[in-house]
Amino acid sequence: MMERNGMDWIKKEIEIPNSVQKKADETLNRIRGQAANGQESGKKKIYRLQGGRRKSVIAAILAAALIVGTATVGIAAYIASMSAGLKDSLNVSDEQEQQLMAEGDLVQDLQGSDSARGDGTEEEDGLNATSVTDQGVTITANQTIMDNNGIWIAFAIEGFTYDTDTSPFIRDIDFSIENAQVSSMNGSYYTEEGLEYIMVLGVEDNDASLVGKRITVTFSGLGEAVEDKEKGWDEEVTVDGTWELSWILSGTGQSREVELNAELGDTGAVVQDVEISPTSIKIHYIFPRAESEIQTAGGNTAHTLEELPAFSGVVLKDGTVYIRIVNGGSEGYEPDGMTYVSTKRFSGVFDPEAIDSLLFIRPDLNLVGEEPLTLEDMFVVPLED
Amino acid sequence: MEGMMRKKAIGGDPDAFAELIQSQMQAMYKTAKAILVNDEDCADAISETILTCWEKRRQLKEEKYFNTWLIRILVNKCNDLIRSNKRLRFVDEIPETTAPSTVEQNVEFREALGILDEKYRLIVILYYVDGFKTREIAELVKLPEATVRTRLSRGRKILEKYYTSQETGTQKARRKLI
Repeated sequence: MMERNGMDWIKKEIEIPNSVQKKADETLNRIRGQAANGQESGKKKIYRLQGGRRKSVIAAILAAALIVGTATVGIAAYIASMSAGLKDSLNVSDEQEQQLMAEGDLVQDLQGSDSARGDGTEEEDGLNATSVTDQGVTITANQTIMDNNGIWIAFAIEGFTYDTDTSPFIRDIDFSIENAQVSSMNGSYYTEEGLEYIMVLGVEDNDASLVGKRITVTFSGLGEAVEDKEKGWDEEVTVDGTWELSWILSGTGQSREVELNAELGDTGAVVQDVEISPTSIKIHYIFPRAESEIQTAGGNTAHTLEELPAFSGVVLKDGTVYIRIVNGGSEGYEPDGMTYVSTKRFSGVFDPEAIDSLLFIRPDLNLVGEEPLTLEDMFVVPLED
Repeated sequence: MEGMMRKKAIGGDPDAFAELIQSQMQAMYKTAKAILVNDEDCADAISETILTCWEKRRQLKEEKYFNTWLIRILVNKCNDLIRSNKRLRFVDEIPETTAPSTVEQNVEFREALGILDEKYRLIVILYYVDGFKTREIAELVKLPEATVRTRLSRGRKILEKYYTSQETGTQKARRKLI
């Protein structure tokens, strides 16, 4: 649902001019008549233009609808449970897992979905590889959770053994998404049930959805890592293989956009608008870039940016408060020096429609580290009036 | 209920299709009006859109996207009309060929479109009337999403400023949080 605060007047019903309504009615009556006679309409046009551009735009729209539709059918047929690693990384409960799998839109199963395998053409099928075996080890991209700001990917690693006194280690990981800029990559290993590598990619502002774009991830060198308290990590490659996986991204890009224009106390910061996805949030602040002087420990003068109230958590419509839910992200000023864009990943999965308010930390708290916080330490920004 | 009607319409039920179209007439007319000069052109564009949607309905895989799909086609039809050189672009001073409505809401809506520069008009309508997301608008009008957001914000401010100056003794204030 969209929040369009303060512009309700533009949605008021207006009188449709007779000429417009009459022509629409005539067209609909002709459609009814032809349908009753077993004919399709379109044999006689009121006004028809020729133009290659018009056809290609409509084809693109229909192709986009096709990709989304295909992914949904694939999920309903194949997914039974969520990847253990994804579930652990996103703190998903058993109950929430059941709900997510039943809804079928957010968690994409690459091994059962047609969309990951491309559009069915010989060229696309040849490019797609969601499971690769090299040197006796198979790496498989199993599931993804994608929203507008990034992607969680669960990779299963099979056939690889490592000493239990060590940790698994991957020497090199390369990744790219067609026509999109990846701003961050984090990864972790999940070893409770088999071995999984859970990757999360943050994506910069894009002009279009990631649905339908090609992603390529290349792993090189598997091995073991041991922590040496003095020397740091000692890493050794034991399987010198290369695994290049590539597929077409699918998902629905569910999000909730809310225009807020909410001032955060006397900080001078305004939350202009937010886009909330199930696993992340993108916030546009208006906060003119300003620096202040500080004295360093060495007695020198340095400049630091004025502190912006950072997003921290949410309050749900049922009253549940999640004070700290941020798990990484990226942020920075746009070229105008006024708009500050902050993209934060959640440490869980939230239904954007279930969120009542956003929580921003007051900057005057002088926090050091992960101190316990309460609602009194927050600016509370309701999403609805 | 609306979902059921959409499914029936896409399935080929002409009565359900007609009902669905009628439910979208407000959105279609406002969108067409944001692009075209007069009501005759709006009528043509809407009629063409209805025909195309009926012809292509089976190609829509997800019925829940019907409304946005309909408006996308309409925007393209309007742009086709402009490019055809048989119609004039929206210019503030070109009079209606038929007498404009004097209904208050129509006057208010027409004034709103009139004070907005062309580059804000369609974006404001697509967002506030048709419920498009900024990313969808960016795809449709072929602009970066950041530009769409900026134009949306500026368009809204222009409208707010205009209507605030029209109100007597009242002023909208930003929400302030403590």
